[in-house]
Amino acid sequence: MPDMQYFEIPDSSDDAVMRRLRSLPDRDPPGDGWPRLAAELAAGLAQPPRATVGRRSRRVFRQAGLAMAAMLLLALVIPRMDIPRMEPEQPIAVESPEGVNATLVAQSQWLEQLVAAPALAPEAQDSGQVLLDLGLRQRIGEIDSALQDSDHADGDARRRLWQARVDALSQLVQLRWAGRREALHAGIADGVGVQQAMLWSN
Amino acid sequence: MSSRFAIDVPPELIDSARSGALASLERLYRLFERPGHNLALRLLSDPEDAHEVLHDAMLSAFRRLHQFRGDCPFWAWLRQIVVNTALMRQRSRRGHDAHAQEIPDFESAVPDAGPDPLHLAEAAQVERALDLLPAVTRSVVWLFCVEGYSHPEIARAMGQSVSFSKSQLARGLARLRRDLGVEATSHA
Repeated sequence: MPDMQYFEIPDSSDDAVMRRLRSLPDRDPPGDGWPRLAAELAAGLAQPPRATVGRRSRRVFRQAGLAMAAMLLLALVIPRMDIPRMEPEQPIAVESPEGVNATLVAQSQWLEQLVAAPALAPEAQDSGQVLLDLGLRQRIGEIDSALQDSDHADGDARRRLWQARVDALSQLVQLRWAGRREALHAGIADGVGVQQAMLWSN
Repeated sequence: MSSRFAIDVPPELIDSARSGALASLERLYRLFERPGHNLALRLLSDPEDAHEVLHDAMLSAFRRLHQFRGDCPFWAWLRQIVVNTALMRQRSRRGHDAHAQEIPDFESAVPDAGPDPLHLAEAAQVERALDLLPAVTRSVVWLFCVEGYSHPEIARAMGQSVSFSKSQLARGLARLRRDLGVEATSHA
């Protein structure tokens, strides 16, 4: 039981202490807070509800993982290759979401916003990340083509395509965030990545 | 009220963030990242922990935006999430960190206050005195003196009694007075 002597109302000397506490200057928060948070929000959005993760979804994830591993291996084997200069932040066109799972469409659009956000610009990626970035954007383009050609496909097929699009965009966000985090740790986030500059200068 | 958290947010911005608009979420984050980081820093006295708490609290808040009913200001709702997250982290650390305990005895020994305060900047001196407080005591002092929490609010947030909050405040202020060289005017 605390001693009752401590229950006094703060006196004027306490006021002086409080004033000094309140006048303490703010400290600057770390600079990488928002990109990290945005990436995690995206990752959370991209996860399908537990009950809907079926065998087919797991197969899609597994295939995406294998594709990522293959691209990474390629990146390690071929440290430098000619990559055409391209605009990495071009908005990705999507078709009308009619008849498609609205949640997947909303997730997809939200992830696109993230990918286009300056905080996740593909700066300072190493060669492996540049290749993965390119591969993921190509995959998203292929999915978009498939969606455009799937007007007469059944709802389940279109839903799978939208799920694959969300997965690919989520991986792209994670990849961009990883590059950003490494750059911040290396103190080069504000400049153009050396590796990327080398790759895109051709 | 001196809380840096007391920032009015337009309802439209909250609605927009609730719908998932990235720009609105970022705007909210930018508005509150500094007060959130500083509150967590004062409660935990560790920049890395404060960074993690800010992140976890914001993530939690953004995922629970639909639960914000508007029956209190948005900043108060968000601040409570930051406080809860920081106190949870403090509790999880307490087992490993003897410094995280509350002050057990009014006359217990404290570490040397260090160099002559006259040679330190005012802020550095206050920060140092604050950092020397045990984590729980420091949290009570900060929430009461700077954030404007009442004792019942502190007791609820910490899972303790109102008496506990009052005694920790009194002991914390007494130690700060001593470390800052402020003379008491009425305490025995």
